[in-house]
Amino acid sequence: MSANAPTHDSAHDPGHGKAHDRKTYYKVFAALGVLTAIEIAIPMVAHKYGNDRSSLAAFTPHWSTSALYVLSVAKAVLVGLFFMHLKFETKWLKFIAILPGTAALYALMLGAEAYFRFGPPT
Amino acid sequence: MSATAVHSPSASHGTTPHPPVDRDFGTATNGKIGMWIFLVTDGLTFAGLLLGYGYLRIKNPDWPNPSEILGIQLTAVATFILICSSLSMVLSLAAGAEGNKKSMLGWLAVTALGGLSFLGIQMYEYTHLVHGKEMVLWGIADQHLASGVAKVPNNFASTFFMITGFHGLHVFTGVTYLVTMLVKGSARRSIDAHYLNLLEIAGLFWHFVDLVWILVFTFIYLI
Repeated sequence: MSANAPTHDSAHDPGHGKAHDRKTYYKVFAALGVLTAIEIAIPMVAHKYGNDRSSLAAFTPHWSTSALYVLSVAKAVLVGLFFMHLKFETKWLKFIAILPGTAALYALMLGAEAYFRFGPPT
Repeated sequence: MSATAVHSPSASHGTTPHPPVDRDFGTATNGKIGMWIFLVTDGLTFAGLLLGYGYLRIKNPDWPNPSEILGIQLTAVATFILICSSLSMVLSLAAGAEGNKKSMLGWLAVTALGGLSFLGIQMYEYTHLVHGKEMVLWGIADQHLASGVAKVPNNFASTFFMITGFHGLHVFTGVTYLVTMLVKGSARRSIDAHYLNLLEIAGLFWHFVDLVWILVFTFIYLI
């Protein structure tokens, strides 16, 4: 547990301070819109150029899946940090909020098990 | 929570007095901490469902390509509406923090309308999908084999409806929650710290619904 009491500047306080910065909200909203547009474009590009071995899309196998994972997690982090104000919370509340992220460890274990049992994805 | 809580200076800005400052959770109220703990459990539930979906998909080489069955463009619109509703939710809270009741209630109404629009699109999508041969509700589909057509369990349909339906239930709950806050806010003469705290907690739930959909949309519709 934390030894030092947070000041009002470091703790989110609804109705006060920098937590409710409208400019930041609009920037995050724009970022979410752009990332969503990129996400929707990725399957189209993968479908069009995925089999073209000379294209950038074929640079790594399953590149589109990896990119979609990264983009979706980035969007979720933006919502959590700025819209749910986690950025302005104490580290203990951040720790509690991040707990469902442990599912990523289970996903890795399941992926490894599936790879061992069924071989690489086709 | 820590046993020692210190009280911040009693001076207030506008209509909201400073709540006590806990050394571990800052100014977060018990209700807010409780909502976060609930969201963690709910998040783990969604994680389990998505992991189950992923595992079934990995071990099934005949898993259909979702983009060939599902309406990506329509769902993209629904996704954008949900993102817009998250923005209107924080704008409502910001207006409330400034004591602007009219603006706060207006943005709150926009947020609830966004949720209703999302539910309308989901109902439209379901109506179309259940009439298609690939996505029958009871989880059985026609598989065209060389020897003829066989009825096989349709794990894709089952997991799709389970996960998106569970999320839709959350959206419905969220809209009900927001409308309740709208009614409670309208009945008040002015916005006080207690109501702002309740609104922030409601906002946490609504943003969680948006956050989960971001992951569901990617994992089920796009990948």
